[in-house]
Amino acid sequence: MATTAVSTANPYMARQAGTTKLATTYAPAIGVSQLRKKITMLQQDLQAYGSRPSTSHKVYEQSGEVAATGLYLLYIAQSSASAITMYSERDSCLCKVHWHHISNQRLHRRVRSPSSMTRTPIYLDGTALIRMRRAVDRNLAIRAEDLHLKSLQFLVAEAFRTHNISAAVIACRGSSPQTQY
Amino acid sequence: MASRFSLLRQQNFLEAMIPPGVSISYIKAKEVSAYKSDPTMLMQEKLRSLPTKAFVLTTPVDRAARNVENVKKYTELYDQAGHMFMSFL
Repeated sequence: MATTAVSTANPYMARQAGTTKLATTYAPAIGVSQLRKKITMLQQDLQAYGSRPSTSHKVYEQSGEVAATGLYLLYIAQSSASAITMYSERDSCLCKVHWHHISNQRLHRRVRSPSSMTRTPIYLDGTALIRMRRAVDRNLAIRAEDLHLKSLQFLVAEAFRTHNISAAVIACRGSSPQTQY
Repeated sequence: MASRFSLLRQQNFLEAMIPPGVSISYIKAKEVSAYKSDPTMLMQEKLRSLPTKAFVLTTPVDRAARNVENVKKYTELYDQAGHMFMSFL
């Protein structure tokens, strides 16, 4: 076994993407089965909502494990070049944002509770939506994969900003002795 | 398989997620089972030494812990010091 803890100032390293997987959780302390149930519910809701499966959606549908500690869950249920759908545990709501509508400065939001199908407030406030719109405007010209990555980076940055956190701990673990460095 | 789970790939991806202006600490555990408590203890030590609350970023959270007891320790860290955890599936 070899474990090391290394501290360093943020070198603002090259933002190289190791992967474009896009599901993220800021999860409260809930059980895995509970989370799976919520995600299943969300997926059913998305189907009822009229979402069409696409290649890019498959990436997200494989998400369904994991529960950690945190304040709320923000689950990127689906994302494509034109839209991103988010599920916020804190508000139990679904928010679908269409990039092209945002870029046209016509914020198109449809929000409803996955469980009750009633409209509820959304997690992202007006400021966040404006910030998101600007981020999207900056990124519309790039490839879809990059757009996904940038969208995720934006959401993570929002989490840091929302909770006023200025420190991060990157935890990596590998169990295989053949782990490549 | 080995490269898929490489620490470097995890690290690169997570670094790419962190916005500028955030100080980063690293915890790297090589050849360690997530069922063991060693990485959790290391994490506890690290987080307790931080002067401010932090976001802990991992690729799937089972990289950090795979049993209820260890997850409970993380929950305590959140309750006591406000440290938060963010996992990427």
